[in-house]
Amino acid sequence: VGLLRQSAPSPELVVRRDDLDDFVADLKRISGLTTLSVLLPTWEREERLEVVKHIGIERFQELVFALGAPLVGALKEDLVKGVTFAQLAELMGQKGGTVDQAFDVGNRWKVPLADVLGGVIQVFAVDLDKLKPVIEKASPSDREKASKDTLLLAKAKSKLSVDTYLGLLPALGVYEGPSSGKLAEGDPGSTHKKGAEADQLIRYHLQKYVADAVRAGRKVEGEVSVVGDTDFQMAFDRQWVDTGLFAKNTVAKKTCNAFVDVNLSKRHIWVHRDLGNAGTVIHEGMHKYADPTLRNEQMSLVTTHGGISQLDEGITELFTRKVTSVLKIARGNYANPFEMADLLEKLVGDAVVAKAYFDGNFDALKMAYEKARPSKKWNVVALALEQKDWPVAKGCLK
Amino acid sequence: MIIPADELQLATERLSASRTGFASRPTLPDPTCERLGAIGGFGLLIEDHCVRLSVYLFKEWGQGQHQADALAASMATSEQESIVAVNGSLLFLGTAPRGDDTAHFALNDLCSAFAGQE
Repeated sequence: VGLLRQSAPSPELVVRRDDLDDFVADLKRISGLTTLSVLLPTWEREERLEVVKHIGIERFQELVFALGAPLVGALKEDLVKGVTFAQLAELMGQKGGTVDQAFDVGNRWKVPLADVLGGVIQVFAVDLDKLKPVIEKASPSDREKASKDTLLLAKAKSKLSVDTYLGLLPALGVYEGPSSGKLAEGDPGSTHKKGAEADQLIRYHLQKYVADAVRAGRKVEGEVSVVGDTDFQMAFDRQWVDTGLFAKNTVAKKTCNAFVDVNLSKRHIWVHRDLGNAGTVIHEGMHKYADPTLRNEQMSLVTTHGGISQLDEGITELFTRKVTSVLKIARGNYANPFEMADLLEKLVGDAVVAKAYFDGNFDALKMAYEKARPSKKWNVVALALEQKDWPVAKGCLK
Repeated sequence: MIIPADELQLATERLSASRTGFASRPTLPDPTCERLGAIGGFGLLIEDHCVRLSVYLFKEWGQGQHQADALAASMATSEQESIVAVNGSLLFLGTAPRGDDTAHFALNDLCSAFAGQE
């Protein structure tokens, strides 16, 4: 304090010696204004102060760091009036700013994720590769708020490509609760599990099977969306109708409760908010932990049934019920495939089935089967399963 | 939100021969809708497999759950194998001769079709 008193006071300096906090704040203010005068030497002092008045010193500094002096200079007339992030993004779009710079400003200004996404989506042509890192960096609560922001989601639907929009939903973890308060199957109050909860349950109850899958980074969180009619239909059309597996105008919610994008590059999970039961996300999530070897090989035998392998679904349901039975969630889904998978497990053991399903060691499962049933070939039971010839399959497995 | 009338139509479609591969002919639900307090319903006979289905529509979403447990308990000692399931405002009761594998598998497939694919 004594040293400062002896120096020539800056015009901006107001030292309140009786209040250390105020004094430190004043120091910061002087330091900030000095930095701004260095960063923007061609600006008039009054211009800098006017912007400071509207957006604050720190935000102003961060803006210059993020955008550079030339772009900030181009925005000067608007900055002196004060801008929100959305307005700033719009101006950046007009003045040659980039989406990365916009995200940088959002990060430096600590703008809520929903506002950042809303501002950027409104102005820039963005794909999921640009959006996902920002979403993943956000806090879970910030992400959840964005996932419930209906205005943001409506804007995203109207501005983004179908693929980017449908990628945004699981990235945000969009989760709509049942519209009537309970799911179609289940007790009052039953709801779908969220992605993170499904991960916890699978990893806890199946820990002896999924260690390698977890190490490989497989998870449900960020991959599942629980959505209403419109988004469910949109995702269904992309996976099943556009690929020719179902006829045009097929109504998604009349066809299934949930599905995985089985042959798209990103295998996202889609669950209808009202349909299915509290184990549905666990079943669909189990697919995310599975190695694709078994499914792909069995799929080569499939000629009907909408592109689904019965053995894959049966084993998926087998492991699903190891979780849901503990949780007292009743499931009758995939009853026959489940019964066959159950017989297979009794024949070769759970470890062999788990290694084939989660780790892709399918050949070991086939060998174990043929060892247990020396007079039978794996190909026969594999085909019977995919043809839904349950009596033959049971004869091979029992 | 799926309204009840749509649900009955949905069940009819899900259990149709084109979706399940099981040819059926209509019949009355058994027990009757009145006895279960349902506002509507239908029955199907899959004669090739001696399977009988009864589907009931209730006024409220999930209302059939109250009947499901009682039905399952009453069928437990029957000579018929049975499956009871609830889906929204609908209740499904399927019966088949106990110990008949073919009928058992048919009943399972039909109940899975009623529940909806995942």
